[in-house]
Amino acid sequence: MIEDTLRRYARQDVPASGLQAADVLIEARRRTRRRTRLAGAVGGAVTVLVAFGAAAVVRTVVPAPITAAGPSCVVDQLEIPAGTAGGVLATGIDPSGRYAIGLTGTQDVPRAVLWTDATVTVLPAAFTPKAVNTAGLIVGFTGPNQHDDPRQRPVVYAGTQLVPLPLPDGGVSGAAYAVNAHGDVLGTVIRADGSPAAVRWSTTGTVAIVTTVAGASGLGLNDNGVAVGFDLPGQHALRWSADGVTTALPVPRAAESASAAAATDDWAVGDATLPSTGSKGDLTAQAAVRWNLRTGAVELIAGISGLRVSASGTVAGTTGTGAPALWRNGRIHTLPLPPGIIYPGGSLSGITADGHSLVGGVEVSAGPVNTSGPDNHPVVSDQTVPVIWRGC
Amino acid sequence: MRTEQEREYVEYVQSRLPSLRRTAYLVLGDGDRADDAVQDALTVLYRRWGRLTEVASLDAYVHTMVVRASLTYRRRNWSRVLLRGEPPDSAVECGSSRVDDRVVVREALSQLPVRQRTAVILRYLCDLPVADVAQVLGCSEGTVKSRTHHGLRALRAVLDGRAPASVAATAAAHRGGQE
Repeated sequence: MIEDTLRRYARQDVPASGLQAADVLIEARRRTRRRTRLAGAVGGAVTVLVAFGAAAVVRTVVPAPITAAGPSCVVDQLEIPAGTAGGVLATGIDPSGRYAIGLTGTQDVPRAVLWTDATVTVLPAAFTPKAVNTAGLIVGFTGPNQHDDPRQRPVVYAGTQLVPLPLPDGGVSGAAYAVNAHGDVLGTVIRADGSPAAVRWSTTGTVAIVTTVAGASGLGLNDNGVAVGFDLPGQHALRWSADGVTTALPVPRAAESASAAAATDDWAVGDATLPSTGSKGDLTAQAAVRWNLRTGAVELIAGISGLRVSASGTVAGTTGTGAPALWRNGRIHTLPLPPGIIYPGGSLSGITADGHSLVGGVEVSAGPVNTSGPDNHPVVSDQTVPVIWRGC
Repeated sequence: MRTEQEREYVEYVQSRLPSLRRTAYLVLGDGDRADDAVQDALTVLYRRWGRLTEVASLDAYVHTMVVRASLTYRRRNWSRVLLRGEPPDSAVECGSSRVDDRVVVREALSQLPVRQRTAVILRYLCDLPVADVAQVLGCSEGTVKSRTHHGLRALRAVLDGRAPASVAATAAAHRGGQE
């Protein structure tokens, strides 16, 4: 397998180096001082070139303006369950904001965390929670939390027990990614040949294959039964109506491609891939796509990724610098980060229906290098703590 | 930078240096160039050290900086001419297939479009989980999977001998709508 070839390549011996941290610091200081001097010397020349129109810059995609969220938007750390080793990441919140779910444990044995009514619990069953609905029904998968591990199985956690979701004919593994208010579940199964298929499980436990498009992954499901996902080989965002009709979601004119990641009420959201400009900024350039599932309208939102969307159409994602943010009414608002942390940043993984509460994780310090064995990696980095933003 | 911040910076660099240099070496296949790429990335980190409140996962972020610095280093024409104190690759036993594997894999990686290459390197050479790669690149996990999927497919075609690296990478990019 190509993955094994790459991992063997990664394990090769690397020749020793004389590079030392102290030398790195000295060189970084030297270059920084030199850069500062050069910047001052070059400034005047640039001004002249601009005055003669020699430095014209054309931008075809203009990012939305970015400002900090207002003072009503506050961040709090969610309680970390007693006895937890390693980091904890909040992975979702139900549309009402009553239930929040999280992830901890190791990659081989991930554990689910549930916050509700001011209590926090590590659920007794080992699984990775991906979504929770207003009734507290949690969906996700058992098995190792590693990309496309064949031991993954879709499950629901209803109250006190883990219930496996049946795999359709031909499916060998899979995961559940979304659950709506009626308890319908959407996920992806992997067939024996490695190709994915989007699958919907009804509340009666029967399996319905949402699509038979080869390579299609199911990721989002709204309360009207409309599902969204994407066709991996073709790089198309797809929409499946409640009766199973498949249609391609349009790609914004300025984007090369788009993938759908989530759906809530009339809205679906995902990432757009913008044309390469050849600059270093390509790698961190962010653009979300928001589709109106009722009208078919599509819009490109540059400056933020499209990870989640609220019923009101608020888009949650991260900016090019990794700052958690939301987009509303044409503006990007960065969310506050907890005070007193040394190396903070943030990830976003859930938003309520009203778009005012969000959950995710932040890093509290660089911490020690993980020295655990290859089979015992924490599923969430040791420095990650779960957070909730309210009033945003 | 304040003294306290410099101390934190040095402690961080000290603890991560072997891992960062390994990453650069895997991309470049040359110890001296790897040292230079790591220094480039850590110099940028030094300038940004006091403003890291905007950074998500620091380790993944810094690894990404090193990968980017290494990829940039590869693109510089002048960097093709080097005077080295030792051969660029370490020796292996005569008759071993390892040397071929390393050269072929590195060359195949170098032909991928930059977004696919970055995703594949961070996932499989740096062993970062999909979630971390998505976080540091600021895209969804689906996007990371898509880029690695297309990158792996192109690599597979090259390593199976079904297509020259440039052809496979171009085809993958075309199908994936990237680059």
